[in-house]
Amino acid sequence: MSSVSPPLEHAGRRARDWHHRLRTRVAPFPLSPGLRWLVRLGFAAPYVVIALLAARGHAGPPSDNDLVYQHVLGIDWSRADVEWVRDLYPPLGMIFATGVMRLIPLGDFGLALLGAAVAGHLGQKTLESMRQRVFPPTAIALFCIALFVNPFTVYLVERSTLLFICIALFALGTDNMTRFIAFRSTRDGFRAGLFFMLAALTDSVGIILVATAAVSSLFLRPGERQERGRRRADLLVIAFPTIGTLALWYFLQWAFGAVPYRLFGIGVTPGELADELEYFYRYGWIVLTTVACICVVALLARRPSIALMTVALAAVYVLALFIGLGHDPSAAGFAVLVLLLLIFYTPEIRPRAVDLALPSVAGLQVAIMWIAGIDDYYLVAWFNAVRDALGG
Amino acid sequence: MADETWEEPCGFKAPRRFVPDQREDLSSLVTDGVITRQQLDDAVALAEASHANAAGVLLSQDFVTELQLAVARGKSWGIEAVDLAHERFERDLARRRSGPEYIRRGWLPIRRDTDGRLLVATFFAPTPQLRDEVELELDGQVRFVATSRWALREAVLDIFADYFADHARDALGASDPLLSARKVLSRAQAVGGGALIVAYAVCLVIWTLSTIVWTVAVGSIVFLLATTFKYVVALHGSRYDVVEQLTPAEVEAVDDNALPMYTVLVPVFREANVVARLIANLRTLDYPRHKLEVLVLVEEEDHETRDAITAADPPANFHVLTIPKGTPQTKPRACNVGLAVATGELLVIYDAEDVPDADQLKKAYLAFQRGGEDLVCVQAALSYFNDSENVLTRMFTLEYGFWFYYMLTGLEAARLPIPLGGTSNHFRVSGLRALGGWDPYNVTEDADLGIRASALGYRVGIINSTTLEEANNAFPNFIRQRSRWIKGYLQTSIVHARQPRRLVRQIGWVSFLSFVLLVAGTPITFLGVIPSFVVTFVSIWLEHVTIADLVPAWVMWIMLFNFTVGNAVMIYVNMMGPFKRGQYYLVPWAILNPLYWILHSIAAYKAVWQLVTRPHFWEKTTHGLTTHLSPTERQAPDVERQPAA
Repeated sequence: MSSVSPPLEHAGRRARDWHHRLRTRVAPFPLSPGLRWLVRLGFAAPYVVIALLAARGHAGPPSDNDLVYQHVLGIDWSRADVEWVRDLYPPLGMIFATGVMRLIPLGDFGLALLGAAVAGHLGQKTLESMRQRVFPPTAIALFCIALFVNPFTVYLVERSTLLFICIALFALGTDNMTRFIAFRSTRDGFRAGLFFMLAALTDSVGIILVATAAVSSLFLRPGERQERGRRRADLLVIAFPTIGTLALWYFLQWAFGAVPYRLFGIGVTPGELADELEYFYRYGWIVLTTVACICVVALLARRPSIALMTVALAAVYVLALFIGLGHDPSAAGFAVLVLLLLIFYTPEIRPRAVDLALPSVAGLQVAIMWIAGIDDYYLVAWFNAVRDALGG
Repeated sequence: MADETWEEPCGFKAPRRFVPDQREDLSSLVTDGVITRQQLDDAVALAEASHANAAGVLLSQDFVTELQLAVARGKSWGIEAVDLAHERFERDLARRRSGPEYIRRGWLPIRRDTDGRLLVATFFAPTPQLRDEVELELDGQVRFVATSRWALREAVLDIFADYFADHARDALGASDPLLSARKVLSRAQAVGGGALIVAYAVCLVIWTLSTIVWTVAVGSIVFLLATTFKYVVALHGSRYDVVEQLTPAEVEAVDDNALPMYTVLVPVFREANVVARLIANLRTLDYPRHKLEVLVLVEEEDHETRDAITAADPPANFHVLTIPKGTPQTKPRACNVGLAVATGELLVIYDAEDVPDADQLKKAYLAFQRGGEDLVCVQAALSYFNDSENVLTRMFTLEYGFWFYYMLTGLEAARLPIPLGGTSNHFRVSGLRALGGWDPYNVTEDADLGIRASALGYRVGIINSTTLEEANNAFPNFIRQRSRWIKGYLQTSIVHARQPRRLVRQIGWVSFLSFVLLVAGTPITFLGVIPSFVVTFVSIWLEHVTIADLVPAWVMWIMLFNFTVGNAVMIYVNMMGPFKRGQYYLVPWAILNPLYWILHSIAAYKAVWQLVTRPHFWEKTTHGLTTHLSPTERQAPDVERQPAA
């Protein structure tokens, strides 16, 4: 890349932007900010329409959003004591939810709109990431369909919004983390740290995702060069914001005499544990098939560490559900998460076999998402409820 | 943009209307056996190719001395040569005209000769035009004698010592008193500030605890804003760390013959222990020697350093400039004297212990070439060669890494005012003179100059080149140095707060807010650190109900949130520091940043105290304390370093 600059002072702001772009390695896609917004709108629009339709009649089995709504309604904003602060956990998710559900106030619909906006942004970023990694056009198209045109994602965006936002933030963090490690782009590392922190503060499952990302950062670096302290530095950059924030959260609760919020074992009753086991029996094949897809791509790319990390992530995600850290009644969260990771972990420089495999994997994912989606109890119940409410 | 503000005490009658004849026949140097014909021919060829003069080339190569050149010139012009250092001057005669203009015009009256003619030294050929000019100015017949450029400059500096001293001190204040830190507070500031202090004192008496807590609460908001601002700007700057702005290939392609004259200013004071290192460090600069003028600025009273330089046998392009005695005895005052006699088109400042990258001057030249006329200064990054010496040097390196590689890059990319760092600032001399030079009363004259440059429509840029320095490795030395920096930031804030509306008009709201958060926010942040720690721990160990009685709970939460998050943000920002240079082993040390900031806080209180009691006092940083070797010392172990005093 050349860094010879034009005579900047005579060329105005446009030239300066061009110069700055030349000096950075990660180009946005599309290049024009206006087009980028159009792409975001394009990704968000279907979800907005579905949210509008769903808002015409509320029905179906209770969803995560309903639980969040109840929680938000129960927050007493006239208090500011330490117990109250504790009950705000996860704080960012509660702030988002309170903002759109109570302050605006749009209730359920507000949260769905927020999910649609995040989906729009995530869509543009995913597209950008696939372009940066020079995915074959067919694979780009199929991955977009697999990720954004399927009942799982729709359900996640509309009915389990905070989990979706958490996954989106985690995925964006992963995208930045891989650039940080592979391209040595410092900015992306420090953005990744922030995204991970936001993910951990949006939904309780985020903590365990971030922990996995932090550990995976140790193995992502190609080992061509030994640099003193580099892996430890990467780990700190990735994990410090999350660890620091949670440590502060706990410290303040401890210091002011409150019983700290219990992260693990929250509300896990034997009955719920049985539910989770049933969940695993029912949806385990999605987890296994998706993980297998990533493993195939990782092995073709000669990056076994990626395969190992994916297996580890799947394991901790399921574990998180078992210990009551997360709530993913439809398996939609996991499916979307793993698909995003498949995209973000795929290295830019890879053997040709990977390029050949990517469209097949993407096509398989489209099929999995639809087959699993139309078989999912929660999804089917919700779609039926929406259809009934619309008089269909 | 400011006009030239360098007033002459006694102007010349007429401006020069001719180009002086610089031809000189130096063949007598060959016939006298001083140099060989080949050396002369090579020097002439190089001079012609690089738009320089052969005398300068011969001098830079240590083939001749200044005096030998003067003698050769005299022979070629058919006049006598003199050693001005041993001439008796009639000072009144010389002082009839302005000193700096003598340097520019290349002649200087010495005394009235026994035959009544005026004896005038010159380093230009004594053509009839030159004779007419001199006789017009001096009202009498003249007899020319040949001298060298540097001898004439030294003589002028000696004769006009008081002028140079006054000028270095007062030039900026004379052009605009409000831009100088000579007066700590303007009248309006004194009245307004006094009223605020009284009001605050009354609140403190009546509502003691609430006032303290609210003060800390407001301070905590400033703290969070200032730290978040730094994080955002540094993150913006980190976009550019993967691509070199000026590549080695571009530097390689620079035509040495096209390079301009470069002046290096090195202010030293009681640093006899490091001057040998200084000379070795600057010798490594990749720049044609005949176009490089190194001025070592030594205070008049500092004989020890001057002797040490002489003993180190510096190359011919190193000149010791004696800074006339005067107050305030500060680095910017010395630099102003250096600026007055500098002949370079570009100029850079280095500290005595600096080890700049060899290609730094060429990179700066390229940056100026590309940057346009409004680019007045480019700042190179500073880092430390003794980064792993102890905790303090590690923290220092982290801080500098974040500041110079990310923060300043971010400020530059966002076109925000850049407070310059203490050394390795490269200037376009014409622009620097138009700015009025440095403020000798400001103890962070560099930061002030960066802001002033922005206010006057100039730009400050950065270059991807590093100067290695010696990090402070001792706590008392650290506190001294920091207190001076923080005092300087306070001075700079006060100076530019005198006409806030004008500053906003000049630089816009965004740049103004950036200035407030960066320059004014930094001392306030540091002042807030110790009280915030105290209040946090008191809040924790007392019943929080008691605190809630004093302030609303939400205020307490905001306060705690700001303070804790602010500290976390600063730790995180400091983690960024080592990435550019690959010093990853330093990253975990960033966690100690809150403790490091307690030291800053101590220094901040000392700075405030000094601003009241000794506003212009220059807290000297002692160099040469490290036991680690600089890169130059590692390459040339024979370079001596004496223990610091």
